[in-house]
Amino acid sequence: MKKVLIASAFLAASSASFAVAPGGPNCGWGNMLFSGQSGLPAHLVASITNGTSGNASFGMTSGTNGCSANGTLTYGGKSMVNLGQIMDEFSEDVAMGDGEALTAVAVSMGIAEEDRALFKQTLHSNFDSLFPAANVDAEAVMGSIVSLMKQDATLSKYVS
Amino acid sequence: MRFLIFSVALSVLMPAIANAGLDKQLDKFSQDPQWRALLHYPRSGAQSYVDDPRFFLSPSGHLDPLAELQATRREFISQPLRRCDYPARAQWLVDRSLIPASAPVCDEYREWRETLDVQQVSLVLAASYLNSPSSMYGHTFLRFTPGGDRSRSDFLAYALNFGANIPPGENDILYAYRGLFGGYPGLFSMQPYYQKIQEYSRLENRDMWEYQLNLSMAEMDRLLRHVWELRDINFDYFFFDENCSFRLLELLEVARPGIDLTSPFEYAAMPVDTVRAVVDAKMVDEVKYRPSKRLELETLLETLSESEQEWVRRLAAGEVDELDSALAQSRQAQIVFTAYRYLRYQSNRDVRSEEVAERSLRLLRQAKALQAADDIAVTPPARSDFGHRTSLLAVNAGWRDLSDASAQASLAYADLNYRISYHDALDSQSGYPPGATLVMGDINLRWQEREGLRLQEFTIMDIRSLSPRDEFFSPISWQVNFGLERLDDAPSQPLVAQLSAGGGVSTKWLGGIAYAMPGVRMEYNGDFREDWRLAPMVNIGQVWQGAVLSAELAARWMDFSGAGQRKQLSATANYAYQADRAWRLQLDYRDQPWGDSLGVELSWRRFF
Repeated sequence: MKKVLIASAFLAASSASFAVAPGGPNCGWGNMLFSGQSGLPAHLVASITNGTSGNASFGMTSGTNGCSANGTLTYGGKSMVNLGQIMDEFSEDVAMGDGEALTAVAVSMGIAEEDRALFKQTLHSNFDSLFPAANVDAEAVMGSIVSLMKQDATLSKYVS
Repeated sequence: MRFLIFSVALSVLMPAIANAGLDKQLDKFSQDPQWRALLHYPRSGAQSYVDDPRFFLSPSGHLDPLAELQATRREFISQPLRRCDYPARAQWLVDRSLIPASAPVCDEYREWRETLDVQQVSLVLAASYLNSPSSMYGHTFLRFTPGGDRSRSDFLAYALNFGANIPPGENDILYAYRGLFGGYPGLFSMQPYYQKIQEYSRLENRDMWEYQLNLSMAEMDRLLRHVWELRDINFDYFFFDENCSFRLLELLEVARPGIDLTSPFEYAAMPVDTVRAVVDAKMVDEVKYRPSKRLELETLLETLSESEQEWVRRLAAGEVDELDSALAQSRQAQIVFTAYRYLRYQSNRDVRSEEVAERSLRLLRQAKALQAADDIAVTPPARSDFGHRTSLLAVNAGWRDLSDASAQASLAYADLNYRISYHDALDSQSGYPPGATLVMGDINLRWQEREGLRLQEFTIMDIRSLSPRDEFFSPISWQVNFGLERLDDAPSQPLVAQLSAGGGVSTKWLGGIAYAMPGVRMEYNGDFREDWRLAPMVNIGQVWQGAVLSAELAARWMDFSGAGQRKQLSATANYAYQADRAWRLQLDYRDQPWGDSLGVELSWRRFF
């Protein structure tokens, strides 16, 4: 008993069969072309911001973006959460050091269970540099995350 | 020679015999409940619910399950790749040896399934929400939880939703009309689950209940095969029967053959009733609760003293930039974190403002520096499916003393009352939103010695939303009521049509809710010279709600100017001695243009 505004939003994880084609005009599916772990940062940085306008990242009010078929990206057969859509929850989780949005990003980035606590702790201790201002966008945050990980002996393997 | 003739005859006849055998077999299979479920035929009905010719392979497929089965089999044999569009049907035919088992490779479908990798399915109930007509009775959808690491965060699950496809910008009245009477296509859609969390828990501040289903891998497999068949397929959407909740029951019937969930709901499917049916069918393992952001915020505020709350208010409003206090660090952390959450709550629906965003970030940064934690221990309310049932039958006995009335000194009556849905403020509050009354379709037949049996009241709709205001929250309370009503204390007891509406405020007081709501009442009375009248109206009262005992004191004043004023005082108590049974006693005093009267009424109420 609830209205759904987007007709084409049928199946979040399917690429080709629905209204938004791979690499369609408002959507990031074309980035599936990247593959292999080394492609991840570029892939993330390039595609994670799709559909979000730069300044709406902190304090965005609704969950829909231009990439209407889904808010997820696929990487190596796994679904990737769209950071631009969960910036509110993510920033709060980083400030608190844990939470489901932070876990979702860690899992999406392929960080193994044993390194997840370190990943969360690293982001948590660098909250101020990840979120320097309220108009920071998902792309910038993702860029900062990647450079933080590169500096860490354990986490660097996920972004090399 | 004879043998030869026999062989020739046999070879000519065999295919025909074989065909006759197959036709018979197909005829039998086409009546299989599972085949009918795959085509969305009602349990008792001859036409499929699917309103989309693309779903059927035979032109008469929506009326003729046999024709559809024959066409499906022919199509799958002549074009094996078509099986990829109908994986559930194909599997069903293979299981019955109607088509060869060797399946084509369906890349797109397989990729979809691998991406979803569903290991757990839940039926999710978003609590009812009076402030949106489409959501008053709640909403249900399915949650698909992937396996592996992705099961570690709810944000990585998926939601499958059935809803009307509304053109953007449609106004609510048109929406309500077309939603009730048809006119919108209903479609299944899938989204990331976090969008649902954002929509319900954050934007609309509704609690979410996840009923984890005990589906086996084979059952989930059947469900997902069928979901694939339904992508972009149109079912006309109807608010009462062919709605989100009914469609989900159909899916569960496909998943678990042999189970009948839909039969009781062919005329109306209320989300909470459908959840109860699924629980009663022993399909639920565990129930998980996700409080709304609003409830988390209230819980946070309750842990703070008044002076600490004042800090929250000032910090959120930007009156001060920093907390300046000698409190322990953990208290400070709690205050700043609450202020952050409060500010986010307040600006939830607003257009983004740079200033508010900066203030939010500043508070979050301070909360982090103070080592705030967001473990908020919300006490879950009672489960909706444990609440009273949604239809009501009541028997009332009443007596009224008409001291000033001309014809009679008093009257006695007996009522039979049937209410289609759903809940009023004095019914057991357990499992229902606080402060809410939502009644649709309430018919009261009254017997009186002199008049016999007559319609006393027919309420089409009665909604009252009492949302208490305080220092932090300032919602509006409101009410709408329309229908027919017999003025039972007036001399000729006329039946009038009325529409009343009002808006005002309520506040927590004396352990209950006190309210004051001005409004207007429009009344049509054929007996009067001026048959249409408009009267200003004021309702004030105090209501205490509980799981067992509830009570209300109310006063109502209406001014029909030339036709006089009507004033009423009433006291009502409700005792729910079982989840679905209650006694109710009401006393009232009325001062009306045609005289004073004092009434008492006792009801026995049974929900079903």
